[in-house]
Amino acid sequence: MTDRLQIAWLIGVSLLAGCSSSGDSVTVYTSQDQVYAEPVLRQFEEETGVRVRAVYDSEVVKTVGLINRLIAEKNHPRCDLFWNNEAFRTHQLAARGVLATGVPIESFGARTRQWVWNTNRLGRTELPPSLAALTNSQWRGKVAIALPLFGSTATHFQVLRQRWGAARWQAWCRALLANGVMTVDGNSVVVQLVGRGEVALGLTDSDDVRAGLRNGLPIAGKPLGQDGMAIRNTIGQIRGAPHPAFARRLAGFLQSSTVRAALVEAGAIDPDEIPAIEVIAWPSLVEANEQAVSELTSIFLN
Amino acid sequence: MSWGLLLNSLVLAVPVALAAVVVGWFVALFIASSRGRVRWAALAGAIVSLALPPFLVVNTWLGLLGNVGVLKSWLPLDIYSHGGAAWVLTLMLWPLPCLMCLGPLKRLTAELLDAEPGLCGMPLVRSLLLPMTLPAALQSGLVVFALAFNNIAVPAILQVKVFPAQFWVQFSTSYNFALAWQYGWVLAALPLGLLLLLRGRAVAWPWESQGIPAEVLRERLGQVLIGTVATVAWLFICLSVLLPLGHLLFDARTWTDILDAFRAGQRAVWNSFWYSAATATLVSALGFVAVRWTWLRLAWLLFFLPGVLLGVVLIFLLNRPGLGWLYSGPGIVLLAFGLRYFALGWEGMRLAKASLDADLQTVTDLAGLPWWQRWRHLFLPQAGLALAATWYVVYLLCLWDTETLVLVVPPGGETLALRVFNLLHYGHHAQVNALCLILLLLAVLPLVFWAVFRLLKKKPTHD
Repeated sequence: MTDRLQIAWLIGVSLLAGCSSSGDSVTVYTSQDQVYAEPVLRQFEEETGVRVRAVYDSEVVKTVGLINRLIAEKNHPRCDLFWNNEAFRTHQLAARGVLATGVPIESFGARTRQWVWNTNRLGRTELPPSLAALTNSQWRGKVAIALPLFGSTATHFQVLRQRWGAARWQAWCRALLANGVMTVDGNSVVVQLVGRGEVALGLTDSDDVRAGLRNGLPIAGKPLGQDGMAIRNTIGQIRGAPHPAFARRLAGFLQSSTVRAALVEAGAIDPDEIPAIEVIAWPSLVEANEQAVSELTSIFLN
Repeated sequence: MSWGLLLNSLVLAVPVALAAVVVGWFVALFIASSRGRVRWAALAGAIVSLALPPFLVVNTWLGLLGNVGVLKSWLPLDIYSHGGAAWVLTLMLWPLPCLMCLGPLKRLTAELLDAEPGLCGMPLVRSLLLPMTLPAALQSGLVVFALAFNNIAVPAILQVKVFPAQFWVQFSTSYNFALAWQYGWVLAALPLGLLLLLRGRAVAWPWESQGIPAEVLRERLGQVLIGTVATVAWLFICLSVLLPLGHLLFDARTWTDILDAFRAGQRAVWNSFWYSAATATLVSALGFVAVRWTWLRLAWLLFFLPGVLLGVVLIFLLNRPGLGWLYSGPGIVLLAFGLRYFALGWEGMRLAKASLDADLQTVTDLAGLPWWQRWRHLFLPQAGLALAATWYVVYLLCLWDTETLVLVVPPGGETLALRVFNLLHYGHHAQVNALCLILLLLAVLPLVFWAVFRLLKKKPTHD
């Protein structure tokens, strides 16, 4: 019995022990869609011989899941580099001391917030002139948005709060809800709903519109104009990362023209960068985040 | 505490349990009243249906009734709904009640039938067959209810808001363990209640009895009833097995995308295989070692618990200095899988040991054989097949698992199942078929190894 237990214990411990990295490797957590990020990371592996160990997030929790994992691991980080497909959460990490001090957040490539509409139900000229118009009765029950607690929709809503002021913004959110706006799990789900014709119009990101068009959905997309925002990919190097040199190397690679071209080809970023509507004050946005999330939760979830 | 979500989960799980039990009972009766190849085909259909990866089933129905589904214009049914999720879960879980009801049906003896020679057709079903199978049907219904209630992958992909999925979302957006327990206690209470309800109740496994000849049962049931059960059985076997396999194998995208999918997911393929094989080996070995400790039946709690709850606990316990060797490597995956499926390994070993010839065991005891010789000369010859079956069931379950892994997946440790789950959720359906085929090939790989091993082991006979 003792012999069996000893052997079983040995088998167990040897199987349970994590493999320490053999050879050069870099660990990246990325919220960029796996389909877009993976070929890029594989190209880095092939060119440099450095193995990339990646963690991707799930659509339904988007970046927030990875952010919280990074915060939870802050005191003993496993990750070397955080590649985000938007900016807000990266700045949040910086404010929480997760990112390396003295290393600026780098950004590259952009998507935009867009209208997406079902071309069988709406024409381009029938689009609302602004986001405020979504509260008009003609759009009752005809609009879908991603739940503004995650991802780029959350960032967009908080940017609007900063632009319009809290009072006007809260009134708009409540009016949206009262007007029967459908909130769904993610921007890709918005595109699916619009494509199916279940709603006529949605708010989403430009890469999701491109993905929908590739899938043959009867949709079209258009930037939001003054109410919109550019969503840039951002890179943050993690404080205390196990492999900072490789992280810097990967960060440089991600900002190369080759990667930009590959992401444009894949539809992950826009081919032409639209000039920013205004400079976003990220630090104050991050500071106001908790209050904004509380207001969003009380409006959209309770 | 979200009572609305809890109600959503109940509204999903209860109809699934009822439907799965009804379908399973019909198929069990069909198997019991069939013989030869028909019986084996139906039994194989039930087992394969249980063994198919859930993504394959979901992807099949998305392909038929999804946004641009083939049948969408003829059948305006919404797969992205409670009904859709219930339908898919029923198709996945009916084999459980089928196998559990088959055992009592096989305990039917000629003497029982001869006691009432005039009892035929529906009166036979009402007076004898239903009461015989009722305990098994109830047990299996509870098990199906628990599995359907705690399922996250299917409702998440079909965008049905259920309690366990929202628990996962809430934890992921806050990493707040206190908040997690506000939801988690419900998810833990359900399997605990199940264990208490099923405590001490033996399961009549189908292989334990021979049953009466199929012709006798067919004669007593009558043509109408036999026709009905046969129709239901073949319909659901086709919907559960042939349709997904056909959708997979006959879709051109499966074959055009397979090389790209393999190249893109090479690491995931290897991770899937070795995590599953290592866990199955570990669980079988530990189950064998600990077979006499009956308190380990409590491990069933970990099986019925949602995988994400186990993930939360492991993060809380292991995300600490000094445990990086375990937390950030494959160790956490093996630990999570091992804890989740230990009960299966333990129970399988227990059943295998119970089937050993008692006299032979006494002989080996008296001879004072060491454990490894008992293993070689007593256990393997008599229970080798049961051991292999236990290993294989655990291997399959690890291969399909996403919920246990989704919160604790180490960097570079993605599995095929997680990859498919993410792709389906993002809406990238193109590669999913190819990945499902690779998953199925991984599933049969041990069987291929086994067949090759047996072939090599056969010694050529010399005259």
